[in-house]
Amino acid sequence: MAIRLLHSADWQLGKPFSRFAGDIGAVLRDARFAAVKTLAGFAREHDVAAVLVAGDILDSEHLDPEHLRRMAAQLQHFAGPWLLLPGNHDPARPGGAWDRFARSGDCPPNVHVLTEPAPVSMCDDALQILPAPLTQKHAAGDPTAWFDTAGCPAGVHKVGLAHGAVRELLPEAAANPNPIARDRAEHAGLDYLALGDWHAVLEVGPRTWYSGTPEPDDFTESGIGEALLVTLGEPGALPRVERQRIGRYRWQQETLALGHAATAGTIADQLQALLGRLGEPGETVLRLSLDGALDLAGTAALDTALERFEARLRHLECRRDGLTSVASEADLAALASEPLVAEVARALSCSDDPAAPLALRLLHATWQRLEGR
Amino acid sequence: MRLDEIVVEGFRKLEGRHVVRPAPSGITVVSGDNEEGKSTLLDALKRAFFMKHNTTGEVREAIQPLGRTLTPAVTVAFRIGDRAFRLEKQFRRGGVTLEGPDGALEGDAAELELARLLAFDWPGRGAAKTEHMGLAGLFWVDQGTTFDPALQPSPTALRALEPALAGQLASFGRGERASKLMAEVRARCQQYFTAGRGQRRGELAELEKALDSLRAELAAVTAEEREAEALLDRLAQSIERRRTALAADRLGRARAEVERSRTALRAVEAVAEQARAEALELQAAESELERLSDKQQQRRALAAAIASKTSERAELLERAAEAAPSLEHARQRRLAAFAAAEAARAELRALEERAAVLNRRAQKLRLSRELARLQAAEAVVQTAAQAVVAHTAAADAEPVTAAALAELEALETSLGQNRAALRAVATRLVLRPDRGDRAITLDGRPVDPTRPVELTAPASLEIAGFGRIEITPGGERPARLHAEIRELERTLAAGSAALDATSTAELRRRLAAKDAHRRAAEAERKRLQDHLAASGMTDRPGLEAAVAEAHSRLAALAAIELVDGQDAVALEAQIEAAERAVDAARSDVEALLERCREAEEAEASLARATERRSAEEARLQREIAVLEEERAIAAESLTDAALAEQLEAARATATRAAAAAALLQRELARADPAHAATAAEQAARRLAQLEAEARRLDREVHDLEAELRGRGARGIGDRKAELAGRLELTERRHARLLAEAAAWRLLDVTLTGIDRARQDALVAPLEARVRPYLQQLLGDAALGFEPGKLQLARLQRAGSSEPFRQLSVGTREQLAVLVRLAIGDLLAETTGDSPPLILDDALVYADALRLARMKAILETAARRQQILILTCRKEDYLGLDARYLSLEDCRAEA
Repeated sequence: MAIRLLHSADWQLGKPFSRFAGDIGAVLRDARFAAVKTLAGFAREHDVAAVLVAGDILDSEHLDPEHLRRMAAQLQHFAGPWLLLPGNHDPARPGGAWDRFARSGDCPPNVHVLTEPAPVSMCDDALQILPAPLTQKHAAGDPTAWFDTAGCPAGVHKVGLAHGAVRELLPEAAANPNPIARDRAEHAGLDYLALGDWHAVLEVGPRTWYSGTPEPDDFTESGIGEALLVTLGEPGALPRVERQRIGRYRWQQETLALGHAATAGTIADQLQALLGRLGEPGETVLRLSLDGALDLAGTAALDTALERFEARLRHLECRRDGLTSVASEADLAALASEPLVAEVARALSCSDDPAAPLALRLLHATWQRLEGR
Repeated sequence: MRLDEIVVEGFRKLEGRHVVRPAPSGITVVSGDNEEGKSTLLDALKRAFFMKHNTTGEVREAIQPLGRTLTPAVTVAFRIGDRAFRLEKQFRRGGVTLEGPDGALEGDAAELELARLLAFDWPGRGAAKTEHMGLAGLFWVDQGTTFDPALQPSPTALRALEPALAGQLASFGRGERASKLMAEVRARCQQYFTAGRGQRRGELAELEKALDSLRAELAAVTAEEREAEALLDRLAQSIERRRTALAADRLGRARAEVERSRTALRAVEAVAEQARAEALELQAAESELERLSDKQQQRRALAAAIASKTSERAELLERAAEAAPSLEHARQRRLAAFAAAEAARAELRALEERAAVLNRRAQKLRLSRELARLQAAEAVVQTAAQAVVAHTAAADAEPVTAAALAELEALETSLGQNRAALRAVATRLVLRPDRGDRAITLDGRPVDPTRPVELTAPASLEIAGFGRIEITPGGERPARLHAEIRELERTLAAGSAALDATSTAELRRRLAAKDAHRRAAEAERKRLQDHLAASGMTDRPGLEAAVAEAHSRLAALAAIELVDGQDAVALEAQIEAAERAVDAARSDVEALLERCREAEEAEASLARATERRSAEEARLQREIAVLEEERAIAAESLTDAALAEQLEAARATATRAAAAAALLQRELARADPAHAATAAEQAARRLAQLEAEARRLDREVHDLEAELRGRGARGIGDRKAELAGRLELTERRHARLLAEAAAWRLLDVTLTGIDRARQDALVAPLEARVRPYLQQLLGDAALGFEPGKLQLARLQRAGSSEPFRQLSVGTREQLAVLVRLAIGDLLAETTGDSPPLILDDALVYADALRLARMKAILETAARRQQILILTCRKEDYLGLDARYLSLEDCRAEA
């Protein structure tokens, strides 16, 4: 009989997003809880046997208990078992968040926090979950090592649940504590190994997947928040893994190359085209890197265009490190009506002072305003 | 620009029509008397260009001819470059026409074109002021305003100068918008930095403070988180230790060990108890043995003591018998010594008595002599005292005083003086009778004709044979003198009579006598004091008291008889001999007394020794009796034989008990009770420590869990993440703001620097052109301008720098004219054209030499510029190559 499991990870509930000014931080915080509710709905809809959450459910083990209570409220939207694995952000240790949660009485009965590296039988013993909970932030050894010797009756599906970095695979693996052997699933005879820690869907092997986070939380990964619907056929058969979008917002990075001859019109066109590529601008958190060189007039036009562009997005983070403003002859001519101003503009355009480009732009903008343009 | 013709009609005091045609080049001198209208002419010229034709109000009223309704009108024919213009302006609506090469303009169009041609700005309302007039404001100088500081080149003038300086410097001056730009940039810069030290302020400073605060707060929360982590680690370790301990069952093993060690200890203690009992028994046996031995020993000692004391007593009795004769002998010697001493004392007393008698005789002799001396002194003192009294009485009896005498002498002197005066004013008759027998009488008294007669009072001189001559000495003075003389004589007589004297000479004698008595009394007084001092007294009562005492003491010695003719020296010798005998007798007595004491001491010593021997013997006797009794009592309770038997039995018992005790001690030593006790203690301690450790671990786990529960409720993770985010946000904002602030500051610095450089460069061409004029006027000198301005600041000459405002009025006038000429030269040189320079009585404070130099300079400049000089002193400007006009001559038919 096939067993369906919903694989998620890295919810990092309680992440504050306080580096975002304004209300966007609160919106993104709430979106993470909303993603849990969406997961619950999906789980209900597909009648999964269990939801496996591979670590970092909480952003920190020192969170306000309100976050746990709120999480518990969202988890109640699916009656089936939730198997929550402590990760490096929320390790299982005495006095930690899970310990307090268990003692608080807020933990719903269908929620199981797997704090011990011991098999858990489910589905009338047809399924055995092998959890590898982290008991501290950084563990030198492979927490899944015990899978190799964990006995399992024949005919029982064996699914591993772990949080860490697969060696030689993830970019930070060389320095990442909590290492996990890449061939653990094969070594331990697992039907499926559900991993967490990497915030994007990543297939490590046919039986080993990272589900990614259900709601993106950084620009390091591009794309949307997802979960994996894992269907286990016969014990030992390869699982079928289907990606399912869960998250509401897209976090994307784009680069806009601006030529020196860019005008207000061309800039607007470029931004419009970008909007078209985004698909759902209103649900997009965009990091836009600007490259190129503009003259002062072009820079002013860009600033105006960006203000309009930003209003179409959920949030815009603009990086201008690759953009330079250089005064053109036309810029200098616009400042030539007053000899003093023209001379100052020339001096600034030739200056090595790092503040000179901005000073020139300010001069240009102020002079334009004084001249009523 | 050149002025070709100026026509003024009905303008203020210039009534009628005045036509002035300046020389097209060079100097034109327009002369006129005061109040004739020279300044009005210049004013009319300015109004023509810089006051709109339709101006109303006070400004318009100011140019209206007094009491006339004519519309003031000014017409100016001028050229700019090679283009000729004609401006006709009547100051009424629609009254302006500007004809030029491109046609004629009227009204506002004409005014605008005029402003463009002369490069000036129309003000918002009213007439243009000097600052609006462009170069004309600089070159058309009203009377008394040559060096007016307010007349520095205005922005409009500077703009007009720009083309001229285009080749000299890039450009200079700045317009109104540029000034606004600089002001705005400065204001924006000062939003971020203070004006003085450039310290951060405003939003930038607030952001930096916020950054510091966030960093501190984040550090604190991070530290709190680290503490929480550390607590978690500690909790895990504590739980692990507790679990390990439970797994190893250390407590159970420790308890078993305690039980075993206690059992072993109890066994050892039993053996020890047995050994102690046996030791007690041995101790008792030994005690008994010791007691019996002591008893035996005591008996032996008792016997020995009795024998010893008996022997000692016998010895004492023998010594007492031997000492008895010596004591008697000592008593006999003492008695003999006392008898001898008594005899010596009797002899001493006799000698002392004799010496005392001799002393009293000597004393009586001395007292007699003393009394005689004192009595003699007393007599002398008494005599002197009597003399003092007598002299003093005599002096006091004399009433004459020096003051009274002086007064009378003064009267006498005055009298003499008056008499002399009278004689001086007396009429002096010198008689020279022709016959010697002629009888001459004066007031009936014959007069000796050979002697002059002095008359001081009326007198009748009768000369026989002649008759009588009544002579009255003239004047009041004789009469007055007579009166004074009479008064003086009366006063003198009265004074003398009061002192009972007839003359002052007598008074002088009597006063001298009085003084003599006083001196005598003083001498006697002195003699009396000398005698008192010689007798050792200070006053007479003391002397009398001394005499009385001497009498008294002599009376006390009345019984002592003096030998007649007794010599005091011999008496002293006798006294001395008697005293020597007394001293010798005393010495003998003392020696005998000493001998008595020795004998007494010797006797006492021997007596004491005898007593001691007796007491000792009695004591020994008593002690022997006590010991005998003691021995008898002891023998009654236990005989010596019985004691020996008991002693033997006790010895055997003690030997047996010692053997048993030794056996048990060996056994105990083998059992090692100390070790067993130590082992039991250690086991118990270990158990207690393990139990305490277990309790501590439980407590630690409990406390850590409670602490963590509390920290968990504080949401450290939330706070840290929130702070980190806010910090990142604030850092980005700060970086952005800092970049903007740096850009505003750079812009401000650049604007200010370039503006300053431009302004400073402005004056260089001007300095070059004014230098030759300055040298012509003042020799080796140089002008300094205000930085960035064309305003004169100082004059440097002879190594010093004088502020412009401290120069004389005349020098300032002259220098201001030179600057205008230099600007004119600059314009002429660079643009080919310069405004005409119009000076309205501008050099009135120049002395003759300076004026001559200025004229030469003007003539030089006039080769390039058109110069109009308005003056009331035409003669000052004669000699110039100039067109001379008088205002009166310029008046034409209307």
